Amino acid sequence: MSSVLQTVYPERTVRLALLSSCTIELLRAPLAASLSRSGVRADFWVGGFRQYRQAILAPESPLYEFTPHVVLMYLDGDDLFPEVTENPFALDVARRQQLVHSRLEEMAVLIAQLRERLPQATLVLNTVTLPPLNTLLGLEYNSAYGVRDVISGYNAGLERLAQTDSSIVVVDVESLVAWLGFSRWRDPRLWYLARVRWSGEAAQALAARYAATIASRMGRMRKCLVVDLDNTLWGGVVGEEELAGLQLGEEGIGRAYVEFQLELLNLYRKGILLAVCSKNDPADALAVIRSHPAMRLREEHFAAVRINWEDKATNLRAIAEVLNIGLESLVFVDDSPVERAWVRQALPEVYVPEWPGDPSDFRTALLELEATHFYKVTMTREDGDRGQLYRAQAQRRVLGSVATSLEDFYRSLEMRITIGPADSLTIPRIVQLIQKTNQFNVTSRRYTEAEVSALATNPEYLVYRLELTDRFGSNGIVGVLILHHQTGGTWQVDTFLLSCRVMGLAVEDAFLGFACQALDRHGARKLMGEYRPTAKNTPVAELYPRLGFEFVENRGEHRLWALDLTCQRVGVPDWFQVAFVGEKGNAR
Amino acid sequence: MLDKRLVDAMSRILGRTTEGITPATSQENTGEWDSLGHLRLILEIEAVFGIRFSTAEIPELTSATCLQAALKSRGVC
Repeated sequence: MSSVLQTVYPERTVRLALLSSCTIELLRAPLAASLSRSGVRADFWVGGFRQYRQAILAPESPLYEFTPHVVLMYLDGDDLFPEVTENPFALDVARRQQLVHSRLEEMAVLIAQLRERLPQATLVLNTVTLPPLNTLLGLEYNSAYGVRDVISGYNAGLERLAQTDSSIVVVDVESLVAWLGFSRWRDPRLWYLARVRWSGEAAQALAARYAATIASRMGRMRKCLVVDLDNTLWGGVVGEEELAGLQLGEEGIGRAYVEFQLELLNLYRKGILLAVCSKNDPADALAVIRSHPAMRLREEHFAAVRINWEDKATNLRAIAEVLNIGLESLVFVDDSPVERAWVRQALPEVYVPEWPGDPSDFRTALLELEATHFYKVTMTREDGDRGQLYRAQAQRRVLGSVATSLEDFYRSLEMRITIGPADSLTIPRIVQLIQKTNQFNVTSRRYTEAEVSALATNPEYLVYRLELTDRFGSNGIVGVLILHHQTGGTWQVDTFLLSCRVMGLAVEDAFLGFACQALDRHGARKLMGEYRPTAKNTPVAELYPRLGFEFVENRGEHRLWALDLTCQRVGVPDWFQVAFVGEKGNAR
Repeated sequence: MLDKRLVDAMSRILGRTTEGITPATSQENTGEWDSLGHLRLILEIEAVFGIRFSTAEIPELTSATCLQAALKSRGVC
């Protein structure tokens, strides 16, 4: 199997870092095997037992030397919330919410650090669960104590975190555990002997899901599902039975075929192509597709239809050709073991799964097939009109919930800003930022150290640096603001930059808010802001209008904005504490 | 004589040819048979023979001979 795929897909290597709250080594072999079936070779870096925090936060961490394409971080519910199973009676509902909140905050910090150090990497996170058989038993939902709300709270928070960043993919371990059953998921012997949180079977299932996630991100999924008709889409053989004699509808096993079709229809809605490859009289078969009242799939849902008496390998080739996709993009489902064997032999590129003999199992078999060969972790606009609608609705919901949780996140960071004038101690760092900052840099003026020293003592200029400290420590000097006196009461922002480390925290609002106050003391009435576009500074293209500046004019490629200081201010967000140092009498 | 299914399982997990697996093959003389390899081997043998070793037993099964004896005592080989 893998050798076939490796010939049809040029093999690609992915550098994969495994981090975990428990022993993760057992995942490595099945993950490598699953990935190789998608033509992906993995180089692994495995973090130490329980050392995921250290691996991410340590400045000299070997994780960053490895420069992974994918960081896979498995956190187990039992490791994340040991308090809950140890003594659930110590945690009332408020304490539980607090606990969930603090774990999510920690996760946000870990994500932020990974994003900064590995901006290109895909980050694979997971939902969690806790043992369903636990201390509470009948007290769950019937007392002040609970385990389930910890899980749901954490998982919902994880979803919000993930939605802020398209490079994060969540693997829904909670569902995977429910599907397998917790008693099969966990092997207590492996926990006690080696601190492994899975059974052998669970490690296989989890590895398959991780491999699908990674392969999907790399575009290694199939594109088209080709189905047979008789005893696949419906029960019975067209031509031998009357239309009414086919098993398809609300009666008995007919419902199994209806549900299988409904699931195929959902596959279509996810943007997977459907096609028919069947040995029938085309007129008979098309009559069923067009006019059987219980059919959920109609001609319009099939991208290609080959109904004739030719062999199926020939027809599959024709389908691939007419759709202009490779044979390695096809999956073929047929109830007949003979046809399956023939296609496997004739067209090894086409994936032909084993197929259950009982139609009751079709829907599950399709979903299992989808989980390995059509796995999707994003829906795009092209995936269909209905998908587009769902997506728009979902995104509106997301934006609303992120805004509130972001502020909570900011507050939780306990950020303190210190602003001061440039002096001999700080100028080297100021110059370094001026030379290197590309994204959050409105004018990108690259001054030398001598030039900045001159500006710092020039009465027509005010040169400020900003230092940010949060509850994890100081970030050092991360911002520079240079104001230039024009004529009368007008000042202009000559340089305004922030290190990419602190983008997205509204530090810029606080910095300009401070500048407005400082300019008061200089009798300023108007503050001009200039945007000089470069290849990399689009993140600040709309900075001035967002902060309330009015558009003045374009000067060539440059755009000029103004803030009337006699009636306007930039507000300092209330999650910052701002202090000024260095000029006598100005400290607040 | 070692059971063929046991030899196959050991050869798969320890990355050796079946000829390389003898009654004397043990954790001590086999590099790939580290602590993780041991768990993988135990899980593989359990799956192949449809049995379950106890937590106390697992750390003791450190040679092909021991494994074969444990399988015999369960009547599966």
